[in-house]
Amino acid sequence: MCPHCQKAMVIFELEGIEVDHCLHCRGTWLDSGELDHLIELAEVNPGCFTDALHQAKKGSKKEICCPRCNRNLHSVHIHDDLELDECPRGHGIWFDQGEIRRLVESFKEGEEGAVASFMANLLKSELASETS
Amino acid sequence: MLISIMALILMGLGAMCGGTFWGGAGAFLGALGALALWAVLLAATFLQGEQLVLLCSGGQKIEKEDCPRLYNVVEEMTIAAGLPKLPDIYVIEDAIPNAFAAGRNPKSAIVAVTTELLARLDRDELQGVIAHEVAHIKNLDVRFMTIASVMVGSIVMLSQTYVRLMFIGGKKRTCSKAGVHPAFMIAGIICALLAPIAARLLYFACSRKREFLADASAARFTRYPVGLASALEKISGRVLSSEKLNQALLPMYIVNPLQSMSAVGMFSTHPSTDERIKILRTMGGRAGLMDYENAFRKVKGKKSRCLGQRTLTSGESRGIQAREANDNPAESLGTLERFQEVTDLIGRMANLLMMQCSCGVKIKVPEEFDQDAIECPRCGTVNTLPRAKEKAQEEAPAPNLQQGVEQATVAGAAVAEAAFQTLRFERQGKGWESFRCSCDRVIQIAPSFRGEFIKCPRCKREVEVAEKVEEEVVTEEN
Amino acid sequence: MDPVLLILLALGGAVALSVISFIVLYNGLVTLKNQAKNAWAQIDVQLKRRHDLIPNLVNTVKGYAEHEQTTLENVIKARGQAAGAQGTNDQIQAEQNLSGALGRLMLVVEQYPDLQANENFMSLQEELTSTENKLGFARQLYNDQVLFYKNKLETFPANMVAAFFQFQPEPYFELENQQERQAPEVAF
Repeated sequence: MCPHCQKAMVIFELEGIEVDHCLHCRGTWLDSGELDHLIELAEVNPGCFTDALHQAKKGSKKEICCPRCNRNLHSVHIHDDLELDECPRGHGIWFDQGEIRRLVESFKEGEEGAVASFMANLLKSELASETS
Repeated sequence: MLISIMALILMGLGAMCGGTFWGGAGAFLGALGALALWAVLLAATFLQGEQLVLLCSGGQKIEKEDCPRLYNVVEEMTIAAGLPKLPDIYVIEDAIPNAFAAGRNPKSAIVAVTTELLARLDRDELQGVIAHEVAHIKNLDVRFMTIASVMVGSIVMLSQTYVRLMFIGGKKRTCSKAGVHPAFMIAGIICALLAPIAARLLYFACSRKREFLADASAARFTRYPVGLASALEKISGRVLSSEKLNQALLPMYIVNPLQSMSAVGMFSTHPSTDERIKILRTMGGRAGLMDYENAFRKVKGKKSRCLGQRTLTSGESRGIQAREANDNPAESLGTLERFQEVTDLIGRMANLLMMQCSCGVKIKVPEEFDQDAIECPRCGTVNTLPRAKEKAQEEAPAPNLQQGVEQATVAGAAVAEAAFQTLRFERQGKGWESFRCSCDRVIQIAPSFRGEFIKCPRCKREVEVAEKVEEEVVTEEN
Repeated sequence: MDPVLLILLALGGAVALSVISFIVLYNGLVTLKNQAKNAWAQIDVQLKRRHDLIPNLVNTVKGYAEHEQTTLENVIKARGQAAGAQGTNDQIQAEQNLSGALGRLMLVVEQYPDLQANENFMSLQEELTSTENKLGFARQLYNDQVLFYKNKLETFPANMVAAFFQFQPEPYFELENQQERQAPEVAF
């Protein structure tokens, strides 16, 4: 279920990673295990990426709920300008439309770049249409 | 054995109860009464019926097509153990790798594994785990442990009643009769308090013994103790597939996999996993029960033994050579393939519709999804759902149907993938109707059926059910 | 009591006891023999399954590995011999040959990545692997049963019953050549 529209999400299997995607609001849900798997596949040291997640400022409670456990999601601020929604129990992360693209942009440099470009590749066509 | 000591405790407790209240003859009656209590409770538990359904409420029974690897491994172990029948196989969607067996007799047993277990273990390891569970079935462990746990239960019950009675009624009795010495009373209460603890300890010892026996049998069935050992290592979370990664991402997990292992209820009655792994590893290329016993002595010290003399002599006398490690890459699926296998299995369990985009991206659509087309986020291709294609078909003139009931025509000329071909059935009236799906299964439609699609229970194909169209009948008559 | 009656009673008791134990021993032996037979039936099932899988496998491989005609023909020939073998010992021998031929085929096949990626082939391979494993486990069970049976036949007191009714030990299903024993297990 999409946290925003309360509609069924479609699961895409991209390179062995399952991404839950809402076709109404173009939001994306990444299960924690999938995120794990994604970093593994991108073959980078997960340290920097997770550090960014850890250091990120925990924000306030949001109105939307985790599709797995139905608890309210909490916002997290990464690199100051990017706000993601995270399940308080660690079920995964919710990306609103456009947030994946911004995440990719803000992680362009260094080792995280590999993860970012990997992610960009996953939703190639959709990201392209967003920027145009 | 241990269970007979438990029975003795039970009878002793009963005798004490009887003795305190009614004197000498009461002791004998009390002992008998305690046994009767146990028998009644046991009968009640057995009559309660199989609780398997409850146990597996989160799981789904799978068939061979769903997960050939698991099914085959269970089949292999059934043969190795010489069970009379293949146990039912259940898969539970869970992030904790675990497995269990249930069923009081080998003919109606089940084996359940979690999806995480399937994703993590390779074939040899899975074989080890399944062999362990099959050994539980073969050794009638479930039945035995039910008997033992009911005995613990009746001991606890008896001791509680005794202590209560002593506190409530005891005072009056001692004052009025003064026949019972107060020291005896105190000793009785202490005994009654200690009995349940002793019984529980015995129960755990029993359970651990059974675990060791199951491990030993597993080694014997597979002829490969290393498989089970490395499976246990993976399950206990010590050797995760990518240690660093998982350490770093620990906060991202649903439940801390390192902590959760100690919390798995089933394992509390198990011997320490470290010890089990160590024993299996010290078997050193041998796989017999005798060899397990020897390894056990090496690990635990000279005098201890784990398998009864009877089990040992009924088996082989010389010990058995283990087989070689299986290092053929063709056999073992890679982690990615295994992961995919499991995600497909979960999808099938959740009744998702599987589609494939032309760029290779797999799309899984839940039943309640309400749009007709899905744009692939990778390549931008618009994929039409099969049921939408059906709708398009419906607008085109439908093929005429004869009067017969078995009218299921393949309406998928325009449908590209054969796998998603959909059947169509046109209703003849409003009553009960039936037709044959292309997989040869007869599907019945109730008069109350109002939907547009019905799912074939065998092949899971969706069959379109159309209302009777009046004009067409007219043209047919012409 | 009359001493004669007492002696008669004792004799009668002894005879009854020996008759009962005789029956129990005899039944035990028959059960063991039947268990061994059942285990053999399981081996038979798996051998048949393997025979059924081979034509499929050969057809799938043919499309990819045209240069391996001789290996494929060997497999088909070995299958034919195994299917037509008469008597336990012949059958064991023929199945061993088939295992060897299959093992060589699977080694050859490793050089064809296209074939390895073929989904049909992959599921066939899983089936064959599993059938081969099941065969191994069925053999293991059979040998265990034969061993129990043999032990019983040779030890007192069952050996008396066995000699009287001429129970014969069943042959082990053993692979003589160590390398051949390994070949299928490594290859699948």
